[in-house]
Amino acid sequence: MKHVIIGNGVAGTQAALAIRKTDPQAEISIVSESSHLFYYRPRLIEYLAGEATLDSFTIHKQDFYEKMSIKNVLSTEVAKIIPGDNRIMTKEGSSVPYDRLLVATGASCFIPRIEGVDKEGIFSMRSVGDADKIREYAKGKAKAVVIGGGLQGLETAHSLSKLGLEVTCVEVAKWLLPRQLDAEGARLLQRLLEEKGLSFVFPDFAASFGGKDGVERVTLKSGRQLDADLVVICAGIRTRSRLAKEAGLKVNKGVVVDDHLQTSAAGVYAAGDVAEHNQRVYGLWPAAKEQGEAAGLNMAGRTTEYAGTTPSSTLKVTGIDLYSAGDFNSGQGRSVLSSDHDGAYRKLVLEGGRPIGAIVVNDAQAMKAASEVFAGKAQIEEFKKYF
Amino acid sequence: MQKYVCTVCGYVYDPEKGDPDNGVNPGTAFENLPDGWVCPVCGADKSLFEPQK
Repeated sequence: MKHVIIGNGVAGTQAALAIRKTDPQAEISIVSESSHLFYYRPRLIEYLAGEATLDSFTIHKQDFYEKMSIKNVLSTEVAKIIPGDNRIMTKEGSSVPYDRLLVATGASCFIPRIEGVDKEGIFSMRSVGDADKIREYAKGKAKAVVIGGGLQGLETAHSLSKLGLEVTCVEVAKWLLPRQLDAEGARLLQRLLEEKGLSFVFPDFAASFGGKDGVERVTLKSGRQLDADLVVICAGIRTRSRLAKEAGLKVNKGVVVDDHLQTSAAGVYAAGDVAEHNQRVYGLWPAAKEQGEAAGLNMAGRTTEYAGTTPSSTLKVTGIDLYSAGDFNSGQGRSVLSSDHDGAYRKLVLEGGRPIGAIVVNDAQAMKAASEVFAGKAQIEEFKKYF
Repeated sequence: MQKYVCTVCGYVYDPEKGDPDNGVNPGTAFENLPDGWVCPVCGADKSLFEPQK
């Protein structure tokens, strides 16, 4: 059986390993645009800050792929998938036949159409190449603006400030991380980040980028202007599903897959950030890993169901511990406990005495207790004692 | 029992908890993890773990 995998991120790599585990004879090739071996993407942000070498988070070295008999083809762009013919075409023009194909092309950063967005000095931050470009351009620069105050935006802003830049982060919502935090929790997070040297502007968004050649300033919707020698746009991701779409596969927000990670084309699977399962595109490492594993097992003939991934409620943003679970808004019939001593914030929402939501900012012990309470492994009192 | 940290992703192997999702019972010392056990978060192999200080 010939297996071809497009993309060497976590989904593609995990699938290759699952196939190998199931079928020692299978022929496995991973073809990827990236010139780098598979690495642990969440640590790119440390690489951007100059605090980690790529080698330290490259998970498997080249000899590992040889040992596993996985052909790992880097720096190779796939131009076309031809499902009717069971083969793909690379940009260089070689034709690669397959029995089973996995589309694991991942996601790219969403770049809003803002006037001047193509100016020099405006970047996105997704790959080693992006980080290299930003680091190079940042040399001798003073001021950076990050568009987007979500998780990626905050981490990127933090890394840029470690490179010595004065960073302002612009967020469109009323407070930071509105999906994870209430106003009070977000205020504390903001204060902690301001103590780390970051500045914030919200609710506002970029209306245009000005400057002669390179970007020099950002004009916001409110009319306010920010000086900027460098801009990084962190406005979310979009699936890289063009190849699949052109091949006639069913694509919605991402490449649509069933519970076996199979696409609408026979013998073709999809997993990771490019895949849409149950109307959901995750864009999260653990989900991509689980999907890759399940896809690989199915490709190798071991029927395996993927039932979705529950996103973790514990987060770390720029080293600050956050916990956010369930419905944390007050409402009729609900009682709310909150406390903000010792530079931390904790909130617990109960309905009929039952915990239905919680937030913790900057208290690792309370976060641990909260996650145990919500996993049903501890009594509410274990969490309440931190209030 | 000694905990071990994955140097790639920061996952901590706690022998008291084991790794039940991957067939490792609570109480299994790091040294006794089966061959082929890898970090459940990033997939790094055992050689990339260090004792937690």
